[in-house]
Amino acid sequence: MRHNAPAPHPRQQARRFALGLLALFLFSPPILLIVDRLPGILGWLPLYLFLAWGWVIGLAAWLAKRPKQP
Amino acid sequence: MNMRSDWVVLGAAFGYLALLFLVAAWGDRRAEQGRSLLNSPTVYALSIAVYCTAWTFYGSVGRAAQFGPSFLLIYLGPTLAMLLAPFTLRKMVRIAARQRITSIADFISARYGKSSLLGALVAVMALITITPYIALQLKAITVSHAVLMNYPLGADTTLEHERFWMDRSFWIAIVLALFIILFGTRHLDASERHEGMVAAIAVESLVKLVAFLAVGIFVTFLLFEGPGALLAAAAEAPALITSMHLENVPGGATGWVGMLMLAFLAFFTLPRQFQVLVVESVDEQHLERASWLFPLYLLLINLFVIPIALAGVLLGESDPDSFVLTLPLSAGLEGLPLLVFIGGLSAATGMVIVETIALSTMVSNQLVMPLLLKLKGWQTGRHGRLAIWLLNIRRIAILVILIMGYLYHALIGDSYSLVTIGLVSFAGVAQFAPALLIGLYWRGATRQGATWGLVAGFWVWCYTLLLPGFAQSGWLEAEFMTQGPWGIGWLAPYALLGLSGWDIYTHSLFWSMTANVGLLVAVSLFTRATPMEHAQAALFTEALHPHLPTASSWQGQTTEGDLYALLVRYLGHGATHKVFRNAPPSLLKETDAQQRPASRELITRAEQALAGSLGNASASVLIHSVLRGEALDMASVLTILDTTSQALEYNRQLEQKSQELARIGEELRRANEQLREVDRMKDEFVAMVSHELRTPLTSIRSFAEILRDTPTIEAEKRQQFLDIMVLESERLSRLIDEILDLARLESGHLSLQPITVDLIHIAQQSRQALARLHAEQGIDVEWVCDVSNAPVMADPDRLEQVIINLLENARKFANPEHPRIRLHVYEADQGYCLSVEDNGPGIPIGERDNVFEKFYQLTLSKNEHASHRPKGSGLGLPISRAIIHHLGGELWVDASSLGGAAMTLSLPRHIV
Repeated sequence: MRHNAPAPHPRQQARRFALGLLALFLFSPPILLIVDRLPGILGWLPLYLFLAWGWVIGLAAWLAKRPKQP
Repeated sequence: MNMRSDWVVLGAAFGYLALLFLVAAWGDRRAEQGRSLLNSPTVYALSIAVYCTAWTFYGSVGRAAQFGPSFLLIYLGPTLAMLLAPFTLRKMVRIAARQRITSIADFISARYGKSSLLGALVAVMALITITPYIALQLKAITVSHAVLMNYPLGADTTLEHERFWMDRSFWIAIVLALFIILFGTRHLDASERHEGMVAAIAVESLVKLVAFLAVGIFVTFLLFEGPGALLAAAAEAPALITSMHLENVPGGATGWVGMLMLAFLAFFTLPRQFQVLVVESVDEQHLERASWLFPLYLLLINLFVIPIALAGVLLGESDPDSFVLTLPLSAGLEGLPLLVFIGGLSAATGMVIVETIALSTMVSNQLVMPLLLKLKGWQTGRHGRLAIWLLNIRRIAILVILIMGYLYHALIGDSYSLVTIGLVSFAGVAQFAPALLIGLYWRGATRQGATWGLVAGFWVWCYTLLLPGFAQSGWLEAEFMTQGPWGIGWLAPYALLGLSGWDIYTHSLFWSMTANVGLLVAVSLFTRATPMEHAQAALFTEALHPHLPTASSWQGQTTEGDLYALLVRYLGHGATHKVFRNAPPSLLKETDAQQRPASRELITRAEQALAGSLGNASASVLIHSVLRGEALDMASVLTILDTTSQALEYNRQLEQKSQELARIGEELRRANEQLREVDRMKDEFVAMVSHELRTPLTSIRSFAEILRDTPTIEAEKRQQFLDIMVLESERLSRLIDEILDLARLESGHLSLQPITVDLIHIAQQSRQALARLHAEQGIDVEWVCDVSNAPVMADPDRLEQVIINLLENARKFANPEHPRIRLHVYEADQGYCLSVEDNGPGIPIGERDNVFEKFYQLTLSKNEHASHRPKGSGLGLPISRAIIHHLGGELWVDASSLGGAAMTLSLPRHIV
């Protein structure tokens, strides 16, 4: 049987939404262009993408693990 | 033993498939025993990883080698989607559970009033877009097998000469069909979880991850000596210098955003993703962990893509799509390539399994069922036989879909590269996104809007991506692409309306989404929704509402007998008995039970059971067929929603009111504080006045008593005492006059008669009045006047009283040894000013306002300097300031250039 989860707290929801926006910002061209133009033989873009990606995942895991109180 | 011999490879491949059968059988068995081990968010996240197909496994490296970091976009899009899961997927999972949704076509059909047409449309579109994608997986199996067997010879040379029964992927397709039929069609209820299949998919996700990580570690740490060495080698190769920059991404920054968007949307709308994310979900809480665990999986499986791509290019391997195989093969390994092959096989089979289940459900529920329901004679089949019929339809659909996929692969698959097919499919299924996502939040989206949007978007997709693909395969003339059809340049499929310079996927996505969203919104705004659409729209958009009814309820009438007959015909006895859980079926054989009217709840439950097996559209049609009277009670749904929105409105108003109350309360509190302060000041004032009055009274009384009690007092002494008594009486009456003045001033009862007067004249008059006193005390009074006349509106007597008061104050405080006073009249911004300065001790900045307080001097008497100061009533300055305020001016204290205080009054100039 499927269960309905209790509704998450609005602040928790707001944090999740903000995290989504942060990820969108980190993966969008203005920031990428800055990283792409940094001097370096092969470029820093892939390293940046993986680090930003990992960081966002870490934040999402941290938010999910936090106690559900506001 | 030669690991690459045909028997070993085939044995491994089919052995692996046999393992999947075991896992699936074990999973189903556990579920039947009620001991499902799969009810865990980790398994849920692993099942979502069916997203990573052979396209990821082989194609990511190929794409990285060709287009740099753009391959990551295919995984960053889903990462964004999972981060936003609490807002999108959670709602979809909740709706799917309530409405017993069986596929994305069912979902969209249910949202727009359980429309059969819309469901069929989505099903057909899904078939057209996904069949090539299934072909892609089969092709990947064939190619990877050929590479494994023929290395270092090329792979493609051998394929053309083989018959289909020699093609391993044909047999794998057949085995997969068997697997899917066994584990995908166990229950007629397609909304129930396929436990065994999900278990197998989770295992497959682990296998492909391990295989990819193994080859990645081998290439990075064994073939090269770590990432540093690999990067150093890559830095030497001129071909690789710009490979990882944004300029290498097709379409640059625009292409980047377009591809991110495409992957984001496709993640929701790919039928297999919808299947694992929504249909197979058992607990929406699982989304919580999956929202980071699945992105983590994506990150891990992509971790070694760039190193493998760099290494492949450095070592001069030819086909980038096969680097994961050819790199370990070139190093002479045999075990690792076999593991990689199995990894690729698991990625491909996982996708094919879930996608085929999703598609076959759509075919049976959205395409075949509605047609069969239209055939009159068909419905009168025997009890339960239709259930088997339906399952057989689904089984045949599975076979047909896989054969279609295989044919596509065998006949035209070779003209496309792996990545191209995948992205074309992505852009195709993304067309479902507007109807799906907008319908989830906007109640106003109508069936007609969704239909027009879908058709238009799909058509634009066909024109801008599918047809050019055919042209590339040589089925259409190449000029079609460059010159446009009939030589019309602005119709060129890769540069529609002259929009060129974008990569083809972003270009197609832009135009198809413009058409799709534009028509969805525009048509919705101008069409009317049916009651059923209204109710469903409300149930979908308000799905997370805590008081929402589980499904639309029915108010038509039917008997339990009719309902029972209907359910048994379509679902068989077992499922029907579950629906009639409160009434034993034996009862239904009795006539009265047969005729008993079915409760609303029972009708709703029956509809849900039908929907889970046949899809919402067909279930709705069937329930309608046995109901009499007004069928849908849409009012009750809308009433509940409207009541809640009314309650929300009341809440909002209440909140506003309580905020207002709080504000008023605060104001009252402040007013009360002010009143207390005024009361305290009044008490203080009364105390001070009494004190002030008592001092002269005490003095008068004591001298009078001396005169009464001592008749023998000397005449001279008596005269002195009487003088003091007169002086004190004068002081007393002056004090009383001043107090009365102040009271009148403060209550506004003092009548002033302002006329035009010359401030200079009044000032001189006041100065002359005190001239004798000043002369007697040797005070040097300096008169400075900067203007020739200073007309102001004032009561001359009162103004003179003020100036005399200021002059008297200056006299009292001036330096006792060389007393000096300066009287200065001048013009300023605010009008004419008169200042009276002295060379006394001055007033400290912090006390300058206090001197205008009543009886301030009394409190000063505690001060050490006070003993030197002559006493006044302490009311002169407050009275002066009140008079000047009444005349519209100001009175303040500054420091004087003479060293003491400067009392300045200003009055507005009177313009005659």
